Amino acid sequence: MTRLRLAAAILILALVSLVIAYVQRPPDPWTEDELNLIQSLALYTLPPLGGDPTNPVADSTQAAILGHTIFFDTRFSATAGVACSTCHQPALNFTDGRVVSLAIGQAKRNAPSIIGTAYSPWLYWDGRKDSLWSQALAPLEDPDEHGGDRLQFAHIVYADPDYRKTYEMLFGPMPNLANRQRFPIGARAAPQPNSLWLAMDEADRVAVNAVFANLGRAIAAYERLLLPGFSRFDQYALALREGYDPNYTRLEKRGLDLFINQANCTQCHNGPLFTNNAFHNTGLLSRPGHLPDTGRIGAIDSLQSDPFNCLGQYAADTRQQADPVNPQQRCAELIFMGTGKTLVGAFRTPSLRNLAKTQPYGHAGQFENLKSVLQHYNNAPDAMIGHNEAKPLNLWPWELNALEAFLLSLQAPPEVAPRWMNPPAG
Amino acid sequence: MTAAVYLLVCATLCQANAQAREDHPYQVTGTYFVASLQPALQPLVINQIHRWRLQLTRLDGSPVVADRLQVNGGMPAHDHGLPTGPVAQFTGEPGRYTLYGMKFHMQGDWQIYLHIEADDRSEVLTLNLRL
Repeated sequence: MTRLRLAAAILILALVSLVIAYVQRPPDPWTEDELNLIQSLALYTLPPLGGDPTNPVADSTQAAILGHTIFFDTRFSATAGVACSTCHQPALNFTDGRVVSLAIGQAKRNAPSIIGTAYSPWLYWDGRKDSLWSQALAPLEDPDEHGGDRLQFAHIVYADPDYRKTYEMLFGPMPNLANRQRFPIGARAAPQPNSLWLAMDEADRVAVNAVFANLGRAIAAYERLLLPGFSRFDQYALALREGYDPNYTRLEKRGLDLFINQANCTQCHNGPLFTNNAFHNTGLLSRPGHLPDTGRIGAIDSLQSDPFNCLGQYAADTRQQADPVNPQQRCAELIFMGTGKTLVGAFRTPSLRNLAKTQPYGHAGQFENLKSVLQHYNNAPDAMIGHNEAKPLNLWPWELNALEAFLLSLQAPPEVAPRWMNPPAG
Repeated sequence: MTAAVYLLVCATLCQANAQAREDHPYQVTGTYFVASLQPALQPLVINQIHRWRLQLTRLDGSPVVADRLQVNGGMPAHDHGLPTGPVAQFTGEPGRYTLYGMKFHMQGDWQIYLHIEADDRSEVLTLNLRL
């Protein structure tokens, strides 16, 4: 009797396995539309990084060297203990492995990777910055992050012969920062200007702001070199295109099938960087004990009033003025920036490349691992604020496993020369 | 049932829309006004800011100079708007406008709304568009 039961159990198990294997079969062959969509996701379709009209040193190696050095230099903080690399660690794909970042204080959101962000018109989870160089400035003065001040940073560069030489070669002479009457130690422009800053001449404040913007430009020149590498998925896409035998597992193919079809992931995670760089409310929960994050809608005002935005005076002197009649104009994203209630609780679509080392996920690090992210989208709960655009996927557990296998096939070491992945020598 | 009807209608109209070319602009006819819309971006792809040409006429074909013209849009299935805030600008030629700042960030069914105030009348023209 026991043997009979055992045999029956094995038979049932075998049947279930067969059924799962059948429903999990990847499409063979792909349709023409599917092939086109797969090709649109491949890294080799990523166009070369265009220039930044607001950053004349964007593609300067000297600027990248300067930016690389600053990126790892802890002097650029209030405590001389925090650098950009504190929260954007190369070994973790330029994240920090924390729920939310810990620098001088605790940051409000999870540290996103920098890899490939040079392609995005918006930076930060809420897109409150519209250029790589402008973004680089904000953490330097955030009291919870570097906690420093633009005048302090200008003094550091001025006093360091190597920094100053490179800076002046790139951007021209620095203001006479040795004059402590005009440029007093302790003057702070942000987050609120103090009396020392307000007592400075307007021209001197502008000069310091310009130095600050240029430091951001140098950091941006470095960050533009941090690009994603060729993944197993890209190899598979290439194999499909070239017609040779692909080395891609059945599970990964099934995950890709779900990704581009039933799960509709490509609606937002599209293009070779797997992001449309737009803002969506997908019902992500807030961090326990914290109010829901307003996301994009909360960034609109600060973006418009940011003196370091694309339309601001520190960007305008590098090229022609923004022209609302010219469709190829610079600053178009800012000029025509969308707003409205659907941006309540909306966050920028993150790239899905290089997920293996960047957990936890979500703007508040809500998700410990990929499984919990996928489970969230499978359920698509009501949003805490605003409206969840996503619909429940209602996938089976084995389908979620396939999706996870596919997502992990996007992992690849960044396409970055080793020198840029480590602190500068010496 | 409603969804089925919508899909049936959209399968016809939206496909037609998707085939708009230089010589065949999208056309929307309302109660008072007719809009002919032509994206400068061909083919129409996502994630790229671009402009559209708009010709606005009355039903009899005479050009309309609107007192007020606004453009917006969205994806009804996802209940979100356009990623940008486009602006309609009069070109100086009667009935001809340029829509700056058009952008789509998702594949799927979109609607473009033209809010027109002219001739002491007000009308919203809706273009269904499948990307």
